[in-house]
Amino acid sequence: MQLRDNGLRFSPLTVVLHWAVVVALLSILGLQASVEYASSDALRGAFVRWQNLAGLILFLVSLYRFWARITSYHPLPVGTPNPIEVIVSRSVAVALALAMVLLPVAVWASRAAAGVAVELPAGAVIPLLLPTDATLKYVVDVLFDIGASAFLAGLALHIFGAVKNHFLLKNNTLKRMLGKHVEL
Amino acid sequence: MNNAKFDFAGNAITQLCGVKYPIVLGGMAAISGPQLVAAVANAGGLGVVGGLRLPPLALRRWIRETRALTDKPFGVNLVPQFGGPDVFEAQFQVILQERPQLLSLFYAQDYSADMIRRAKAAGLTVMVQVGSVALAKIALAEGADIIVAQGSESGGHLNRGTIGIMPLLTSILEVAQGRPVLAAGGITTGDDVRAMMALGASGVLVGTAFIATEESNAHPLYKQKIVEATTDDTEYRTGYSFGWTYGTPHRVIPNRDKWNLLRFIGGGARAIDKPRMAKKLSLYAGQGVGKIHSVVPAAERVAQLASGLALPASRLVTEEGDAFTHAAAQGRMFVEQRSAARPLGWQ
Repeated sequence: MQLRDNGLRFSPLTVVLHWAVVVALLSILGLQASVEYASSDALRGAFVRWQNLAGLILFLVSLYRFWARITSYHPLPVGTPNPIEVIVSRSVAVALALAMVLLPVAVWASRAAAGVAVELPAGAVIPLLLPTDATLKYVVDVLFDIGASAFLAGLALHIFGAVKNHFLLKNNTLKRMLGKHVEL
Repeated sequence: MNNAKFDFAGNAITQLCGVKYPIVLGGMAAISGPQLVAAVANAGGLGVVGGLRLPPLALRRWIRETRALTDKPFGVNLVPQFGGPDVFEAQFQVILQERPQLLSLFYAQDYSADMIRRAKAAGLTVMVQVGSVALAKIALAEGADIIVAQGSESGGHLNRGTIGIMPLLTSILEVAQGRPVLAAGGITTGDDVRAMMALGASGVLVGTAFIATEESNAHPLYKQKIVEATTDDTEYRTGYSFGWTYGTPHRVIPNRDKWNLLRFIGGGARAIDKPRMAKKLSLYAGQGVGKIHSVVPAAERVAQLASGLALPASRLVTEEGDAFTHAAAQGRMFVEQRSAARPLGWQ
């Protein structure tokens, strides 16, 4: 099996992990909504633990994805996009992968600075390596807000590109990311 | 139209490539498409498809479209560095199957030992473009049939270094072991061709002058910029150019319009691109750009260039025993005295 991307195609691993990241992100958002509307503290705590686990998975997968992205050739674009679109779309993809490494770290740092344990299901806990410090928490939270805003903007651009290619340009860009073999 | 009024007797390049004139179109990515390549080939030159950035299917399509437009020989240019080894191998397989007359390589030193051997085994003529004597020696050692001495006057991408065409050409000729060497860089007119042939080149490779032709894939605004630019307007850069490793040297007409990020990027705007690409990018062009005054059919451009293949009148006079008066003839005399064993460009 092809494990790394090359100039002609994405590896199956890249495709699987891309959609694993999507699932992890949606899980985090869904669990956040569940936390907001939980009927009891016990249920809320359970949701938070599962959310933390999703964040940990997102961090680990994204760490690999970012490394793989910057050390592999990017497959040639489908169709004939102008070079600037290619530069922007590839930059956004790399930035999103990096953001999904940094944002979970920021969440962990914020909770550590607040002295809140980062618990996982089955009683596991992610160690708090930072001292409790209100100023540090404030700084981390500000950085998280900035990063999250940039991430959402990039994500919107990423989804817009996928939708544009699929519905407007009617090419195989999205299908390629769904695992279809596209001959270039 | 300034059509050539003579039949070129032929030389090593015309024999190797099966063309009338040793006038070679630079394989400019996205710009040297089937129409331009076929037009140059039909006019007696050697058209070269710009294969860089073309996925294998598109490369095959372009080669077949070119074949449909001309029955004359033509070549394909590839740059192995772009897209990685898998893309290059896939492109190379297309070349081996489609078998154009010539394979042109640039930035190929990491791959050429294998590629040149395989291409020649398949019956292709292999041409390698270099910007230094060291790279020329590598290409020659690996079996290149033709070397292109690319001076730093050239537009688009260059090897590292800033060697002008005159010292580069003559230095490569010294080590060329009799193999033909084409001159590239700032060549846009028949006089330029004559000067290069006088120095011992076996022909010329021309890019910028063919951008401003009716058949080129360049955006009309790009062609207009080529026509309007003066000799002073190009700039040697080592920043970012699309698709190339950061720092790869290239020559552009720098964009000095309103401030925008694209002006820091070197590129070539295609006809299918939006006008703002041509307006904002710094566009590839060589130092000969100041001598291009109009957009003409490619055949006319070939004819203009081929007019420089005619022996200078003063050389004819010289052969009759009169005094040397023509600078080009004096240059040839110098070359002849310096290296009697070296084949001259016209031979």
